[in-house]
Amino acid sequence: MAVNLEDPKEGGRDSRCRVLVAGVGGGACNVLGHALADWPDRPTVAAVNTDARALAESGIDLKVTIGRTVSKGMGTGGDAELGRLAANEDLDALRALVAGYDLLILLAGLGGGTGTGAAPVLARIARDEGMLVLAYVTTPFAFEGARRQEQAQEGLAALKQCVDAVVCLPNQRLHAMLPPDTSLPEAFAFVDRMMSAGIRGLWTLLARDNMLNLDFSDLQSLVENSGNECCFGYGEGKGPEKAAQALQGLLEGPMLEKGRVIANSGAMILSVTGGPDLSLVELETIHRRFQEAARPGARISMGAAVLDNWSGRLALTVLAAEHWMPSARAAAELAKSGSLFFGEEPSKKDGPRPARAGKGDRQPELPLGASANERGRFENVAPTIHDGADLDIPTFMRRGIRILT
Amino acid sequence: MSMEPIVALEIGTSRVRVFVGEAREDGGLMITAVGDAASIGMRKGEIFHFDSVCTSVETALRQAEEAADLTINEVYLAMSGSQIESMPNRAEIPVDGEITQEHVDHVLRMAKEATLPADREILHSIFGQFSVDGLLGVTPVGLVGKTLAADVLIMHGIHSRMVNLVRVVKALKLEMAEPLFSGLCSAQAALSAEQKLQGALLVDLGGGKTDYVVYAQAKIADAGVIGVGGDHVTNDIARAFRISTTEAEALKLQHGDAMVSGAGRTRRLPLPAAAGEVPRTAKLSDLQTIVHLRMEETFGLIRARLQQQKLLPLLGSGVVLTGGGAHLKNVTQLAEKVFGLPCEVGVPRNVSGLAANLAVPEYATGVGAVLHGYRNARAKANQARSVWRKIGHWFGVD
Repeated sequence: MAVNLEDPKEGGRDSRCRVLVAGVGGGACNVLGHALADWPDRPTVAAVNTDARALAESGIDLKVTIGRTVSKGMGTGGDAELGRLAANEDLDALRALVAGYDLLILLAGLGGGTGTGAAPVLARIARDEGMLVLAYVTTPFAFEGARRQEQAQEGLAALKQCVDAVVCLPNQRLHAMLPPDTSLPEAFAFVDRMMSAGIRGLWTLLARDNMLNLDFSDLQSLVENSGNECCFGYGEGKGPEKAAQALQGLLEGPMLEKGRVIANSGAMILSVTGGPDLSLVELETIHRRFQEAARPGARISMGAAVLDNWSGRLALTVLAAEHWMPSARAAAELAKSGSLFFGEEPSKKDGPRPARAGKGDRQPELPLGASANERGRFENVAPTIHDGADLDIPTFMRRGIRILT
Repeated sequence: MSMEPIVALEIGTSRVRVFVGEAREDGGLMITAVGDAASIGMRKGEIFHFDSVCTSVETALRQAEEAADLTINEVYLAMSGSQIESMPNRAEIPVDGEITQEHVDHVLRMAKEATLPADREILHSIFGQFSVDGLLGVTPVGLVGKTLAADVLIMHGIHSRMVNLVRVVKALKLEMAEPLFSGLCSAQAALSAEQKLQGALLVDLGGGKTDYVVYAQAKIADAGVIGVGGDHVTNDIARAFRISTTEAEALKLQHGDAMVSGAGRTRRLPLPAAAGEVPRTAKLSDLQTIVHLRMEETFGLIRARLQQQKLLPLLGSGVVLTGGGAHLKNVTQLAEKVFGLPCEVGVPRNVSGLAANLAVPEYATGVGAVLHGYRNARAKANQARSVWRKIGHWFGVD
């Protein structure tokens, strides 16, 4: 099923964006099962798993069982190496699966065998086919054990090598949102619900002819500026205060670390889904709140979709670049406009100068990646958060100033 | 008049200091000994390694005891930390006819009873002013009116964190005279009575945090802590040039500058390199930029807070900087730019002894704490009428 995305701004580019949503592993298939429950106008949905039986149960368009030889159709038993081998066994089937699409939204629950091991393989194939690959992944709850956590981190690192952007949702962040007496199945169901809501929010915006349109190029530009890592947040509200509720859930909730992610992010996409009663004031409020929370000069793209049966409901999905790393083009644009700075443009004599775009499209010298020692000597101390910004991170880094030695 | 020596202990993030003060014949205060040791185990004004902090404090105490030739039993403790905040509080009571001392005591008690979250505790309740039927700043006893109101500024902090500092004192078998907010101490030592009257902002640039205290309209209008200090500047430099924090600290002390200079663009500084590494250099202007951005941001956070409360136009005497960070080159110039007010470095005043050695901005907190203890003790001797008066007097406007 191909989806049309009219893009009047860029006439030279192919204006059709064909999207494939693919889940890899058992956890991702559960998310898809959740998402499919009530999803009209959906994109093509595919599931890739080693466990043939689990695959048979889900109501999904395309199914690929991988690694019949290595896993005997029985799953990987949590072994990521087995997951990787399984995917390598069926490279042709995977290549056939992704052929002909422009954007792959790849879902995986990291920590398990298939999700962790096979997802990077599928991502690499899709990239080789020239697709833009956006990976939505979860990392395990702390109670799932250190081994799964370790395996998840390794999988995340491997995935980052071969996708355009990783949107990572650490389940542990969600932990704080759950009441203490939540049962295990309820906790996982909650994760599935959050993930599927996020994907659907993004999809709705990209696919439909909306009140306020976002297009593929918005997503592409976010991904290019994200330094390979995005963060995702979802909030919803009901009734007359629905916008305020959704905002509060998002900006004060743990998914975006109480707004810290927004404050540090240089680019984000907001997607609002509401009913026919979605008002301009609500959209304005949402936009303003994010503009206030974000660093000045941050690029905020916003889209809104109206669904007929959504009266009295509002859902807000945010995709934010977790670390700010402007691509060469974006940096050049920003440097020109001077908006790398808080407040006014610095005077030439005594102010610092904005980063200049270097050769190549990334700036390897700028240590903005998610290195473990990002906080330096304040690593083990409670962070100093002020209006959502982590003041322990050097000021020059938060403002994207480049220092060379 | 014989008075016990007053001892103040300041447990900072970079230094632990002990000051001993004794009354002079003429009633003034003389600092007779200083103990000054490196602080280990503190981050951002708070304890993260208890035993190391105890050792550091003990070192400073022994130094001071030796120099003053006495045994220290009791200390005034100057404390800070980003968890310390302030909030204005007002209480109002109806009065019928003439206002008596009982009315005044009652309204003050009420003003003091602010409701705080469970984990918080009051550190200071600083008296601001009385008003009778909306007339501000009156001396109420003897006046006639319908309502009497009292304004106080409540300074509060997280109970467990403040207790940790007190536990250090206890662990060293010392008595605690009184815990004090370090920013108020610095203001006490570095601001003149005239500056307090005309309105002034005191900023104490510590190693792990930055305290600020605002005097406006003849009272303390705001006070608080930003959890950013000299350590952050050092850390920024270390991260930017990929050198150790020790090396970054040395670089900061030698070349640190709050303003970016034209000459800095052409001057290169050698960076420390491990054996076998290619020697690296950094542009002086880059170092200046890193420091400038951090300091500008810190001042900016305070400015934003004052702007919100419309206090900036009330600071007739401008900005006074204390703490070790006040030694940073061009820091007053930067503060003048950010606040749009005249700025100077403040040093302890109204004390004698060790003259030149005492007149440094980093001693303001400790000397201020001694000054407070000294006036407190004198007031006690003079049988002060109420605790409220005393605190209002000493931390308020003399």
